[in-house]
Amino acid sequence: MRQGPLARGEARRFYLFVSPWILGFVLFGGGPIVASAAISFTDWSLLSSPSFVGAANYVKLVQDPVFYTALGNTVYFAAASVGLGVVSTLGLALLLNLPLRGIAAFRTIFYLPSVVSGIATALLWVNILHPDFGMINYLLGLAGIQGPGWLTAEEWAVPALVLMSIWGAGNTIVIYLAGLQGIPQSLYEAAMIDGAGWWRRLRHITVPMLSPVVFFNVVTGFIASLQAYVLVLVMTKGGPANATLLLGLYVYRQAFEYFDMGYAAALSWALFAVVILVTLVQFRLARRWVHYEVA
Amino acid sequence: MDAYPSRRAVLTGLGALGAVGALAACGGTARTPQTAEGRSTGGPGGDLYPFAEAEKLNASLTWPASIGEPASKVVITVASHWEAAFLPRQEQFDHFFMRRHPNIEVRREITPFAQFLQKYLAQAAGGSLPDIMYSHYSWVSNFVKQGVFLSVSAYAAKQPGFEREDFTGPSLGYFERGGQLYGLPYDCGPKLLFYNKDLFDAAGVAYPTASWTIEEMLDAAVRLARGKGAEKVFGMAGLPAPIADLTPTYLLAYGGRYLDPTETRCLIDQPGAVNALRPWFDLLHKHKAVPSAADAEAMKAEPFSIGRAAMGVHGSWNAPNLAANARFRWAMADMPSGPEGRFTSAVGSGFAITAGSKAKDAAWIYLNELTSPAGQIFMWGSTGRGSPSRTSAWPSYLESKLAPEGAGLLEKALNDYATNDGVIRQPAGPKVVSVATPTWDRMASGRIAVPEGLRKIRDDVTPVLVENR
Repeated sequence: MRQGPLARGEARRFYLFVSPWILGFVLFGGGPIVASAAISFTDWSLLSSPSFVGAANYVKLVQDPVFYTALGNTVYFAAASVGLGVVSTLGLALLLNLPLRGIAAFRTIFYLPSVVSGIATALLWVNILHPDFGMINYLLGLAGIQGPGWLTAEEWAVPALVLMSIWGAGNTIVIYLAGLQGIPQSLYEAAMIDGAGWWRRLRHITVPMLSPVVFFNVVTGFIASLQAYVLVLVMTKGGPANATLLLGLYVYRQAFEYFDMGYAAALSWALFAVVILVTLVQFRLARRWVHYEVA
Repeated sequence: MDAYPSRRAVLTGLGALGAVGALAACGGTARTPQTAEGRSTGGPGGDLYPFAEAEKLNASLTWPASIGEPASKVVITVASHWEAAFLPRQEQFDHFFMRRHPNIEVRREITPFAQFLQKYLAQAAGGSLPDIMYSHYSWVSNFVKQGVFLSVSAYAAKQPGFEREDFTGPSLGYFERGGQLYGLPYDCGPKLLFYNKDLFDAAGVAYPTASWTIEEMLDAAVRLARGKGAEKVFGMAGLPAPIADLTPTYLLAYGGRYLDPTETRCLIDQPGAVNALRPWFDLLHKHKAVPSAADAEAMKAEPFSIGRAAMGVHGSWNAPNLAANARFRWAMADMPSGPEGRFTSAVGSGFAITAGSKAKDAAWIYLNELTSPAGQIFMWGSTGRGSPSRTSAWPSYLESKLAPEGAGLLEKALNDYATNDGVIRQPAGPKVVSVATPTWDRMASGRIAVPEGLRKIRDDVTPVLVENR
């Protein structure tokens, strides 16, 4: 069917507005993505020309025990940080949605950590988690608990990173706030007339109505957590005893410490596969709990 | 009051600005220097390296004969990692070099050490390496294997007065491969025992002597450990680490080795290595005389340098920093001996000409002068920076007012017992260290016994060594 002038104009505007992103993606994202796929089939140390090795890097990956250590650590970190993140940020968003005087100031305060740069955050948390002088062990000490060496004990290093991961949750809180404010007030009024208390309103109205937003945050949170490496590089370098070696950091180590670009590229694609797999599982599970309001 | 300036005020301001510009343009360049540095210099320098003194020293030195000056102007790029405090000295060297060689222009690239390797690997991939670049001893093997460094053997052979035998034995070894020379070292220093005199005095323990054995050193470390919590003082700054120079620094004294001389077999679970390492882990686990990982994390700095450890095994290159910053009395002592004798590692760095350089002759002239006896006296001897790679430059270092107390011990160690034997330098080196470290962490945390841990390291490291075959 031939388009009318209005539709053609709208299509032109669509391509005009979307073109900066497409150009940026093709020039700065698409090229490296295609290149990394090609590099993953080579042996390349940067210093000499890459040589084709077929699927050798992928075979090496399957046989590499450190890969499985990193994979386990990554899934553990992602699941724990997303789980803790969803609960804590949703709770904070509910509190910050209360109609109180000065609530805007509180919202600003909780958003502030999100604008602190990653390295500064890492250095700050190294001090917060300090075994002797850190704030967390100080507070535990007040309760008579001997705090662990958070970043130096194998069993506590990932929990410490998880704890730190909720620091920059301001963006997630803002998204929850927007979702909360989009829930029609009439639903709460009807529930209150029916005698529903705070908990029932939360469980039967807020959570179902907010479920698409929760789903969005879970998906994006998992993707970000699975790719995390900068903070770990600064704080623990993967130690102690590879306890915090995440896949992203292992890619970095292979590429920029061992200069094995081919294997690093293969690891990157394995990481991509993990991200896709986890996301697909989430979409499949979402059918059971995400409620989309149909007009 | 108005929120905005009036049009008249704006025009007056612009007019005044224009007048200042006009006056500046008419004023010429004659100015009276306002600082001591400005008054004394006719070139690069500073308080630490005054230009006038540098010029005098430069004139007093005998510089090598040139292999032939370029007929027309040539530009060479030199990449190094000097920190801001030392950079003026390099600028002075370049200044005098260009005066001696008016047809060679030196352009300098400075990159912090931590980013140096990544940056120049990326540049290598992009085909834009400098003509001359710094190289750490542990990088040489990979660069040579990949054809990045040019063999300078032919240049050295035709260079009048090159005197290859003037280089200290351990230093040149890092740049030799298959009978060819792929760069020239500028420094090579030993690791020695550093000790804190104040802590020894406070504990009533006698200072280390030349006859000390490793057992005596470790026993003293136990007696020197005192206090608790944030005030605790440790006898020793740290455990040995599974890094490139583990063998000569800690294992050879017991007849042990990390890898075999060809770096294709891991020997760290053999009796010599186990006997050498077990007492160190006892020092940590039984005697708490070495900082644990949590202690080290809590200190946030190297324990010896902040006065929290009575002893530490450090490279000679740490001496200038300690001399400038330590708030306690310290000194250096010989590495103690073990059942098989006295050993320590000697490691260092150098410069190499890149194979793709388009000005190889000019690059050689520069490299040769920088690492010549005169160049080393100018750069590393007279400045007290230390550990020059040429024997003939050592007297200038020992006489330098900037050299640390007891610097003579460094030369003695270098001549008597320091070695590059066993220092890992083949391509698999970084992976060996990385693969061994997690198990080493577990041995340090007491989760795995030392002999069992060393066997696991052997099993983990062995497949990695295939790369060296």
